[in-house]
Amino acid sequence: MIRLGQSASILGLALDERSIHVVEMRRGAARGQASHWHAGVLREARFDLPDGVTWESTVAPHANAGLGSALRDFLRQQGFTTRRAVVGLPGRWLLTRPQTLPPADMATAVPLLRLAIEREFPTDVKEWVCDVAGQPSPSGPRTVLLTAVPRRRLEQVTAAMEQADLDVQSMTSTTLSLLAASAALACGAPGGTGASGATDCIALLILPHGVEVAVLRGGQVVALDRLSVPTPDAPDAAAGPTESARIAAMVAAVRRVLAAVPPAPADGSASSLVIWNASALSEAPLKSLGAQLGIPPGAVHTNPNLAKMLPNLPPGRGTSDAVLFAAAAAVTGARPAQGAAVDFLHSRLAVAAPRRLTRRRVLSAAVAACLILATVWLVGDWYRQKRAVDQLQQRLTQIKPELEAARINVARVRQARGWYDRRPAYLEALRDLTLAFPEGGQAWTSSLALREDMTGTLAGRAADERTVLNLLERCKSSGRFAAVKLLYMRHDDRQNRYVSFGMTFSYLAQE
Amino acid sequence: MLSKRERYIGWTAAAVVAVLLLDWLVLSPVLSSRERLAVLRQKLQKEQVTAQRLLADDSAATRRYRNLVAVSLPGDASAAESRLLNDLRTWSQQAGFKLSSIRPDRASAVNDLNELSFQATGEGSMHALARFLYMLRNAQMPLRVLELQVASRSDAADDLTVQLRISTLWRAPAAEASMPSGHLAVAAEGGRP
Repeated sequence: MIRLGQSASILGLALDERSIHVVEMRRGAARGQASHWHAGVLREARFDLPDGVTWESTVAPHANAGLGSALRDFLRQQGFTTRRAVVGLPGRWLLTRPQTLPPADMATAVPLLRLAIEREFPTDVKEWVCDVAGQPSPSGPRTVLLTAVPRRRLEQVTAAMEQADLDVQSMTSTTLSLLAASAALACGAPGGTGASGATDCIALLILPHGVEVAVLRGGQVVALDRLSVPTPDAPDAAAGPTESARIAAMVAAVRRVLAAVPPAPADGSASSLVIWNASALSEAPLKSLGAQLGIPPGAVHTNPNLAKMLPNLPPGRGTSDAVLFAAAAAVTGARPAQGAAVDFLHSRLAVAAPRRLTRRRVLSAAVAACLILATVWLVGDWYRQKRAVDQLQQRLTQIKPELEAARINVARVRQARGWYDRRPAYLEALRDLTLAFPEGGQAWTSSLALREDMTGTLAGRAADERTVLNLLERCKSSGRFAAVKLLYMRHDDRQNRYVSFGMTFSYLAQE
Repeated sequence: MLSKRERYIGWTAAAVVAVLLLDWLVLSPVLSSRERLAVLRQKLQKEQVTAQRLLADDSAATRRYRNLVAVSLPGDASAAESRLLNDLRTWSQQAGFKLSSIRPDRASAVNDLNELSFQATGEGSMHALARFLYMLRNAQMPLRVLELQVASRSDAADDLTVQLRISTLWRAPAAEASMPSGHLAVAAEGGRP
């Protein structure tokens, strides 16, 4: 697919055997009518290949570096500033085969066309780069044109253009591009009836060293061929046949080409002939060419609209150059999707590289990434834990002697406090015991023993058992004593006047 | 040539084996080690908190000990005994509590501090005993009542017989020498107990 970018202009390069015709076009101008071309052609120049250098002399892709650098210098000298370019290849480099397709859309037709290519190039299919000119139709059978260029030739041209600092947007056929322009300018838009009412459009490009013919039928390119006729401008032309004989040979060759293409629809639609004459052939014999092919004189156009297309051509330039400049301009407007052109750099028949990111691969990669992330996190967390543990252990080991000393010191001070501010609370115990006794004097103490852990034993007497039990209950309910236990309670005299009792307790000292 | 189904089974089996191997060789050991480390880390963090608290207590304890030493802790046994006997006599007179005998009981040493115990016997009223105990309780010198036995000589009168076991402390020279230099520096600031 030819991609015309956002730049204001683009270069069209028509490659020929000995020269390259370069035209800088305003973007999109070549797609319009002749008047648009008029405004669209910014500058043109012809680059002659350096002496001793021909396209055929160097087949290796990078062997003609001199050609590329010479072209780069030439373009700079001529004031071409645009780097984006479309290259038109001469017809003699191309191999074409018409292919009739059943009703199908492009997506369906592509596998069929690939099969056809493998059939046409059974042994060396990889040595060719193919594209298709024309569009299949879902509504009926269509004939399209398989077009191929040797891969090495394509790489050779690409390398030369890279050397020339050109950004090649597409590589197409000069003749097919000119045919598309012919259809627009002389025969009407591709796919429809032309200005002269014809649905067949035959374009002849007569070059100084050969003749190429292309046939547009019903908006589809059905033939592109290089005719085997005597070269009009050959060095031995003077000794060769006359112009009439050459014309006759051309007519015969064109007829052979027409015979090879699928038959025309039976609606009797007329044909038109566009002749782009870049040779030394005079106008008069060319007029008879249409008649010999059975095309009405009104439908024969020789170099149509050339003056309109290239009005600023310097007077020194001949018709030959003008035609080739027109061809160079035409390649900038070639659009394969609309039928007549091809693009070998972005072939519609190229096998798309298998998708690297299939759903399964993406899923697998996501799972693998999750596993790796989880593992990294796990190991990282383990490492952090280990480092923290190591640091803690190291810190505790460092302060161990200090801790030991502190422990002894604290224990010593804690012990010493028992002789100062943490003395046993004997006074408080005596006070609370006193308060637990009844005020009426029904009970009194005969002996009391208190130890430093505030456990005590009390012996006493009371008026009756109830008083003893009340005393015990008061001790328990005061909250100051724990483990209050009655050791004994008995009448210890003959008159049973008093009750002796003994009890143990544990005093809960308040801090 | 394997069929698609066989390939799927093969890949699945390989994946399961790989997962099991990964679990056996990597996942389980790492998870187990990580769990052990987490428990150990928690334990060490608690130990660290305890250690920090102990060090903080140590600095306060050092100040307190230095203060005790400077103010009231006698430096030898005879000084401690003499001071205790004098103070007991003074307090008993002030309290109106009659001390009939004081005799040494036993001596012991704990944590570089030496303890001297005495057995005291006396007589007096409840009021006198309370005053005497109050003075013991608020003594400046290191003093501790280990045991108190009170018996009434008569049911009718406030006449008590009292037996006391009292102990005091004196510091051994080693106690001071064993203190870390940091402690001495803190103690030199003269902190309160």
